[in-house]
Amino acid sequence: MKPCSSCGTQNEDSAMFCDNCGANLGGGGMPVGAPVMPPAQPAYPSAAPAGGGVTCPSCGQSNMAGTMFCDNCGAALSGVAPAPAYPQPGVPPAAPVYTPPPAQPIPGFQQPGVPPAPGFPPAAQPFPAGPAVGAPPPMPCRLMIGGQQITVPQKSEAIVGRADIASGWNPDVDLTPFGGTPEAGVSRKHAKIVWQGVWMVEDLNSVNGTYVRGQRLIPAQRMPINNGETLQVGKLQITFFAQ
Amino acid sequence: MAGEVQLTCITHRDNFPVLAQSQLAYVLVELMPTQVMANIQMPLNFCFVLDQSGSMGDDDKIGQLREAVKFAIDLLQPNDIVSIVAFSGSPKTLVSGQNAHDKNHLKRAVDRLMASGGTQLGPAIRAGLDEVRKNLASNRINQLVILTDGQTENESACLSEAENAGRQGIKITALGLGVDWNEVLLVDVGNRGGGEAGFISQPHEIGSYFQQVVQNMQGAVVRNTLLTLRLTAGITPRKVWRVAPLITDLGVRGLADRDVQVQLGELVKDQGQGILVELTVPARGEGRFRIAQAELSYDVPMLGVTGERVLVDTIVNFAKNEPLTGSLNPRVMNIVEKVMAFKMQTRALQEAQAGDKQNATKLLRQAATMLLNQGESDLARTMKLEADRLESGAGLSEEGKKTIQFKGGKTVKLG
Repeated sequence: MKPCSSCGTQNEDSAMFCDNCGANLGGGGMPVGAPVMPPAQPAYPSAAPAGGGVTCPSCGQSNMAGTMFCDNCGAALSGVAPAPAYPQPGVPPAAPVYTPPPAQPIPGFQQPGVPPAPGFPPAAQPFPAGPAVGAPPPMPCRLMIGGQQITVPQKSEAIVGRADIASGWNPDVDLTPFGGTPEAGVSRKHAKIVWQGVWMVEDLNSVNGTYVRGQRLIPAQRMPINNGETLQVGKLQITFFAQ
Repeated sequence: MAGEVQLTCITHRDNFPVLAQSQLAYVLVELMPTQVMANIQMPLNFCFVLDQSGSMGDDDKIGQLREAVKFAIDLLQPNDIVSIVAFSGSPKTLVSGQNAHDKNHLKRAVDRLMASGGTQLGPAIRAGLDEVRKNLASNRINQLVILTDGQTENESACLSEAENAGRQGIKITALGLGVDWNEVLLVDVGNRGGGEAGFISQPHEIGSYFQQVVQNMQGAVVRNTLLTLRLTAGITPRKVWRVAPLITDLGVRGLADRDVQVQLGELVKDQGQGILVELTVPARGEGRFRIAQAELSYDVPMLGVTGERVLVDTIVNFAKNEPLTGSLNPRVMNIVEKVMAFKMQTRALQEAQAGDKQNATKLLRQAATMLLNQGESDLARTMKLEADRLESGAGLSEEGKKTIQFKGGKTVKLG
């Protein structure tokens, strides 16, 4: 018999894992004598916001950590869905007519009969929008558009868009002087740059979308952005600098 | 003997992040008869119960039905037992239970199907059951295959007959043709008869449905399948779904404290069954852990195998390394997404039934988005059109409602 070093249960000599607690009984992965169940440490604060779960960006439902689709409304909680062809719930439909899927495969879409691409979800994985941390960043980030530099206000959340004199709207970062016009596909409240220990970008239901590393963001789901990476707002190409 | 069924368990990620709190794990359990069974077929004892009411004369439904039944007869083995009951206002036995060695004789009887009269399904089920009972045998598949295109009189008679069938182990497959039949009744008849209901939208599709039904009966070579998932201490089951061949919420039936036990009945060749289990896994440090052990027991009557068992461990790694924990298993995730779409769709139909068109529209659109992601474009298109109808103030169309209800659960294919 072989005792489990974690819970003390006696297991068959041939057992690889403890019958009671599932701990590895040796033979792979862990050094003999090492604590089999060390106390868990919070390693991913962004994936595990205070409150213990994942808040659905679409309906606000609180889901258990690790939930892939919201229990209430079914919205993807870890960026598993590629940019949807249909409007997301809550977003007014762009066109009332149904467009049948084109014969040519769209990148990122799975066609019938085609096995899913490996590495699901593709490339970067958007983070579910957690509650705002609230603390301002230690130093402001900067944006570079066509050789001109903008310093983003040193806030935990800064809204990027274009000012609208008629309604008195003025975003934290006004792209109007840098070509951020309606023709360039920039919305009034287009995107949000968020500091939560790392820099994140969130699309605010913009008409023409926000792209990080060439991937369109799902509205209300935050995506990390790194120093020197390209942030696309509508048609406007912006380089992001973390400091 | 062993090796008749392959049992696999995979989780939605190989590497789970080390978290301070519990997290959800999706485990896909697949059960598939192996090549060992390729040449084995179950002998049949079944009865076609076929609607020949007046409405079957429209669009040459009756003609398509005759051809479909003849096609199904060609698929039978000489030792299969078949009977045919046709019904309108009353049942008429065209073929009394007999071996299928003289196929021409059987096909000539099929030509006597003629469309006229009303629809009385209850007495027809009774007549069909009487035929099956004549040759009832535990080593055969005892089944009724019903096809109807309309509303029957006296529904309660149908339900009590279906109940009798279920008690005797005679399974019922109830197929509705077109849009004028009552899906609530046929689903209930199928359930009570331990089988299922299906929707055939066009007469020319009857043949392929019958082919599928006959092949599924002949291919049901593994019986009395019981799946037990023994969970490691601290892990609790949250939800159990059957995902293939038909997405079904198994709810919390069979969920015991540390065991998940599900009666899975028959396993059909090339079709198998898939089960998706949602488990709550408590906080863990780094390392490899067994979260569950799956045990399958089954019989293969044609090989004289009873109570055969297979065991498979589900082992996962807990890691702090973010690139590792970021990768998800595409196969499992695709199925999780289809199941969630099914959940949304089911709720949408309920909301529409209850009159909450706004909520139903939202849920249908969400389900359509998910299904489109999964390449189920036809079903997604139907849902989108029905959502548009609801939004414009109209109700669901009969065809759309039936398509969503009966095809929405068949999106997962194993193997």
